[in-house]
Amino acid sequence: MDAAADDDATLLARTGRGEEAAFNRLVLRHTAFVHRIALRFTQNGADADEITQSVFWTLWTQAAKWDAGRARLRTWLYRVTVNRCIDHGRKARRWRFFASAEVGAVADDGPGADDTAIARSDLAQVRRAIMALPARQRMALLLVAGEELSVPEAAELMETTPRALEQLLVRGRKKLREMTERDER
Amino acid sequence: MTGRDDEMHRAVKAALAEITPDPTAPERMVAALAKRRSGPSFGQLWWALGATVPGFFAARFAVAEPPDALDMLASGTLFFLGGGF
Repeated sequence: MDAAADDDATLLARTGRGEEAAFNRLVLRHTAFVHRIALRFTQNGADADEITQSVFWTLWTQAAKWDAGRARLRTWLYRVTVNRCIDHGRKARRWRFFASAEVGAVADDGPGADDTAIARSDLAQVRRAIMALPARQRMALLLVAGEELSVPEAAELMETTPRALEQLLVRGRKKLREMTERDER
Repeated sequence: MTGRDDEMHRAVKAALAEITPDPTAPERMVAALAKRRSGPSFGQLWWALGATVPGFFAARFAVAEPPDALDMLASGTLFFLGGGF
């Protein structure tokens, strides 16, 4: 297959005309990063599958209306994935609220708060703490630390300003430190 | 980024890196989406339900004995006039 016939724009146009083969090619090409973000965000395979499927289902149903002049497909998929994950995280958090009061408890950052919090905690503990963060803080950390995006790039995907994203990162890291330190006690 | 923030950034990065992507995900998604495309849409299910409910009552009415049929008609009319209560 020549490159032009296999680029995203062409496959998307064909998908818009209902060509399943073209859609399948797009799914095979882009699922890896969509699923990776959803999996890291939810830390649950079934939830990651559900989010990934819903992202691509939206693509399938909206491909006919796709405006070739707007964002690249990859950027659009990134943005939809981020939004779906945050919605999913908020719903899950609402349910968790009834099961546990532990989430979101913030201790004072007293002088000399331990610099070696991470040295004392293992990675599984950090992962558990990440899951206890509010959805937007978790996503901000995931995009910057996990996906290695710059702050402006992550801010654009989360439809916020770089300054607001920095705040999410600061608050998220602070909560993580507190949760991992508390677990150590 | 402060030293402690940097330390936490690295910890988060390492913790997330341990969550390994599922290499079977693309193939599974293609299959799941194909199944979803071939299934009935919400609109089709809605119309099927819309056709089934009156159809059931029409069939029930058709096979009922005359007194029962009249009773059903009367109670159905009262139900309709009463706004469903």
